[in-house]
Amino acid sequence: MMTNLRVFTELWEWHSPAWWIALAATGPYLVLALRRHASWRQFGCFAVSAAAFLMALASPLAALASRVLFSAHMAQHLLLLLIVPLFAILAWPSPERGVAAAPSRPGGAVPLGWAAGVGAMWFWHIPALCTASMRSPLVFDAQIASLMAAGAAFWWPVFSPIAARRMQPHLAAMYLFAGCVGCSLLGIYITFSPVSVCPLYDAPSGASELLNLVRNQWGFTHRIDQQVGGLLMWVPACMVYLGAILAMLGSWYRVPEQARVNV
Amino acid sequence: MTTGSLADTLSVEPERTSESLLLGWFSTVDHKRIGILYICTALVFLLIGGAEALALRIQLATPNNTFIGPSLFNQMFTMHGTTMVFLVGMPILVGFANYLVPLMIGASDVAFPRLNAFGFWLVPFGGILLHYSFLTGSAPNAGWFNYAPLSEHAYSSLQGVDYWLIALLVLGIGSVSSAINLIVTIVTCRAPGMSLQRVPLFVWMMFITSFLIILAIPALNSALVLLLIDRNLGAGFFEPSRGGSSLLWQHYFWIFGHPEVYILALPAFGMISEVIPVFSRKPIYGYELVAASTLAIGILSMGVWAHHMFAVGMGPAADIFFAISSLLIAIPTGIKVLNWTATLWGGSIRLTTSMCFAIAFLIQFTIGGLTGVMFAVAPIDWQLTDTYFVVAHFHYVLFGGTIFGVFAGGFYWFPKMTGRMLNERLGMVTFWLMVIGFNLTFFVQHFLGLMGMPRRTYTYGDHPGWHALNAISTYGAFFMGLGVLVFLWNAFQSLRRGEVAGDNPWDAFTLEWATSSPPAVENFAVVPPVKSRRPVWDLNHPDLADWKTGRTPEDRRTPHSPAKLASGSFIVSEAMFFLLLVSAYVVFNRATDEHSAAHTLEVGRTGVFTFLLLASSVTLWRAERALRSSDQATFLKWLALTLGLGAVFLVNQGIEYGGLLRHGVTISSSMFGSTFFTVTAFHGLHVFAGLVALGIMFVLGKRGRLTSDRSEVLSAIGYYWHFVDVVWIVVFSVIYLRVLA
Repeated sequence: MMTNLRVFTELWEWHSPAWWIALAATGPYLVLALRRHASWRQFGCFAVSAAAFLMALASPLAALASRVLFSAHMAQHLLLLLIVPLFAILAWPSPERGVAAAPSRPGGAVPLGWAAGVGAMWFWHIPALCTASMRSPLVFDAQIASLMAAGAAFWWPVFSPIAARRMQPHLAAMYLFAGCVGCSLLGIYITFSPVSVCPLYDAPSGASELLNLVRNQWGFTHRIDQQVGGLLMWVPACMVYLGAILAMLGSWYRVPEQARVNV
Repeated sequence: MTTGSLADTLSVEPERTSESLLLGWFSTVDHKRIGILYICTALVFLLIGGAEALALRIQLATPNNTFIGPSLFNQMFTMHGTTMVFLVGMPILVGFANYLVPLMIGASDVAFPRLNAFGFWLVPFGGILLHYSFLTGSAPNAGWFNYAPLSEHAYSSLQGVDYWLIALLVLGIGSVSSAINLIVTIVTCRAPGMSLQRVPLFVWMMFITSFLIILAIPALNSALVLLLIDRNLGAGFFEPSRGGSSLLWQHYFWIFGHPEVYILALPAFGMISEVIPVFSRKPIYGYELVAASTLAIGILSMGVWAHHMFAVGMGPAADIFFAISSLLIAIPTGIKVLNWTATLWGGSIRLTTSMCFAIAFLIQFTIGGLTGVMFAVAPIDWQLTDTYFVVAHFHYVLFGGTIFGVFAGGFYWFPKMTGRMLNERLGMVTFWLMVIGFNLTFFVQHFLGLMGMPRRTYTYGDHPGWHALNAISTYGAFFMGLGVLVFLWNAFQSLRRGEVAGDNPWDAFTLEWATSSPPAVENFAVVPPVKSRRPVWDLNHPDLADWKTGRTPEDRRTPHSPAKLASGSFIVSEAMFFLLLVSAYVVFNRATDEHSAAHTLEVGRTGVFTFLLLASSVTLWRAERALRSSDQATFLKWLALTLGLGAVFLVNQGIEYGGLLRHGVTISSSMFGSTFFTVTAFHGLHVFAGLVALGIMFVLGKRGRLTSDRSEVLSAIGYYWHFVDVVWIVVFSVIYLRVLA
């Protein structure tokens, strides 16, 4: 019998390569961070990023996503697209001053980043591609990599470690708002659409005990499952954007250091 | 010019005959006069809407009353709600914004004075249209949210609902135009030094409100046109019996309706944020937090509409998410209340009438906010929905909040607008009549709601306690009516012989107080230097100037073209409108419907014409380039080609329509027909409007009056034209290529 407790204790995927990837990333990060005198906050951000990465790919959430729940699959995508790259960028210590001197605004990275961030989400929820990613490990890996890359491209113009390469805060706020709209539309569509976005989740095979638990005990019928998936994309995802918008507003109201010195 | 009455200073015509004075007001494009016109129009409708409310309360004063029958009762509550929201709340707030925003940012007028006048005159036009419905046999009677299918022809066969729909469309267009004007004004017309981080909070809140207006009103407009098409062209968008969805109306209405709450609340927040600091003799506590929380409220308010629909059975998942996101709004709202309270804390408070209204606002709005938090919890909503608890809740927000805020602002800015002080003693009479009356009327309605008294029902049985509570409520309403009359008397008397105000009677902080009361036509002779958020305080108290103690971000603006900015804002608004129309198409044209006439569309042929339409964007771009380099002949050539391509597209659309009609596919034949014709015809209408605008450009160019130094006008129209093409790409993908199916 599958129970709630067993879900949280036994579904960890200890053989997932995600552990090795996280470990492999930690070493070089520590070297770089120590050399550039990263702050405690940056170390913390790296930890959050790594934890979100493992949560998405090696935790019970990943197991639920790969076997029975569309909503878990959506949560996985949101972690990879929004949380992992965001905190990875925030963790990145800015290079020494000499390197950062070139005061170039982000330019072309802006439309590209936006299209990548919003496009990746839409792209991977075309039913055929969603199915393919579940059937073929190769497509799945491509999906994971592309989501993280798209997420990084999206957040880069907003939180680039080199301050001079960031968008101006008020433009960044609009960029983020537009991102929120783009994801909300998809979320709304998935929530209310009677069409299965990922038809494989309608009747998953080969996980009968787990399926029994989520369908009968948790009450996640495939309809509710898709609704929760859409709502995750719609509401919490927008909260991430909103949080970033408020951060932008915060830096918009900040008086630059130079101006303070000039008083 | 520091003294004088309203009539003296505002009539700039050399001959001050009554005729020219009247003409002066009718033809004015001065933002101050237009602001006053808005406010006066709103006051007239306040009296009408208030009288309707009193009629409702008299009917409900005793059980089984027969003062007005059920039919008239339905008309009265519908007209009361519609009037108060669209003809009192919005115009009075837009009126204050019109008057104050240019003054507060040190501008001489709004960015587009004539557009401003246009926006105003749509208000009386819409209002008269709405009230004209009384002459058709029945005023609208389906409630202010006009739920389908009750509002469909089968259940509301008289024309009242049609008048309601058209009047709201007219008013909506006016609101969007004034919102665009405010956005462009705030971005481009600020005085030197007035960075956006320094604008008075009223200006900031109007800025956010304007964005809410351009995003929310089109949602209402799309619902209105769909229902108009249902009622007058025989479609069935909102008729479940014909494959439509009455829930779609609820979704569309509340996509508009929830932000609308904040459209009515944020400007009042802004007024409070000006009044409380001045009468506490302190700067506002946490300016940045108040401003940021406004943005957070604005964004959150766009995504929580479905909490108005807990009772329709959206399922537990949707209920939980919307409950949580609705509860989240309590955070930024709570931040504001705490900031206002902290501003009061330790201040040397002056209890003027204005300040008393502001404090009452703070308490009453908090009560309304707390019952709002209750409603965000779905099970409580199920229990209390459609009872008087709801009525109590939103009156605490919109009356105890917004209207009290407007009174605070009214007493505060009346001296600036007229040059005369309002009588404080009569002001306090008004205040106490309003506070006592308001709380008598609406506080008891919480209990009536908990006891199960349904709203919108013309009478009730003699249940224990209901009579007494309802009677209290009715008495309270008359207190408020008396309060309004005392206020009007006060205003009338003060205009004639009120104490002369002087430039800055309250020793206030913001730029509007740096000029005469009332200000001259050009607003300022010289705009004082702006180095902080309180320029007039700095001017009058140089030793204690804000900029000496704390820095705020300097003004580092990049110049923007007003025309392009207006075009961009308009496009955002239009995008929302089309988004909902296309959504309706998606909702009603499922992939599984094999018999749909969608399969008869000629994709290839339309593809060719799509290509031609897109090509017209390229030709227009070439025309713009030629104009900028003053190559008039090439410019006209490319522009003519653009016009030709657009016209060819429309002709093809006409031919396609003809073919479909011959095959019996009409706007009323099926859901496909309804959605197809609605979406493509509205797009076609926009292409046509673009052609008219470009045609005007062509004629101006031909006459040599459109030259390279005015090329930004063409660019602004270009934005619109490219947008129309982008819409077509979406329409073509969804309808012809069926990408979402």
